[in-house]
Amino acid sequence: MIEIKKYNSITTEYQLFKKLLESLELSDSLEQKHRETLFIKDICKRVEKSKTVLYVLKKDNEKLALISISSTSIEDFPALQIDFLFVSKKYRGLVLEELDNVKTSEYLIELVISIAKDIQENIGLKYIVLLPDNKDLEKIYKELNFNKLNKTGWMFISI
Amino acid sequence: MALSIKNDKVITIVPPKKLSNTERDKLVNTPVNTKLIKKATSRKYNIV
Repeated sequence: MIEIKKYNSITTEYQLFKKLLESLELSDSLEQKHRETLFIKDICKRVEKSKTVLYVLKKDNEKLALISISSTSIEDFPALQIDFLFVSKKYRGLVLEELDNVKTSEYLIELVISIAKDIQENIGLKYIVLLPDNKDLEKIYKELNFNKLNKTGWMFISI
Repeated sequence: MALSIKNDKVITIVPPKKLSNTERDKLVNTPVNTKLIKKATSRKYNIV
C-alpha cells in the first residue's frame, strides 16, 4: 500500500534523521552520499523549526523517496519552493504500477502540484520553484515540466 | 532544490527578488500546464 507520511514541526519524530538514513538507499559515490546525508540532516532540522514540511513516500512501510516544501516568493509572486527531493537509489528512474505507472519523482512532483493548488485556492499562489543541485537534475526537472527561468538555474511551474 | 553545500555546510539560496524584463516576461507568460495540473489533482494521495 502506498502511503505518504507528513512531517512538520508538530509531527516530527525523535531522531528522524537517523531513521531516514537507515531506511533510504543513498548513492554509491562517497561524495554524493556525503552530500545527500548533509541535505537530509539539514532538512530534518528545518522541519523542527517549521521552515519546511517533509513528505516521505512509503510502499508497504518501505521508504521510497522524500520531498520537502516551503513557502517563498519570486519577485512579488507567492511561490511554493521544493527544498529537497530525494529518491532511494534502487527506485531511481523506475516506473511503479503502484504509483499510477509514473516514476517516484514524478509522483512526488504531482503531489506538490496538488498541494500547491489547494494553497492557491485558499491563500493565493502562483508558482512552484526549485533550484536543481546540478546540471543532470536540471534535465530531469525539464522532463518533469519545469521551465528554466534564467542562468542562475532557478526553474518554475506556473499553476 | 534551494539548498546547496558550501564548505561542507548546507546553505539556503533564495529565489531572485529582482528579475530582468526578459525573466519577468518569461515567468508571467509561461502558460499553465492544465493537463499536468488535472493529472496531479485528480489523484487521491494517501497522506498520513
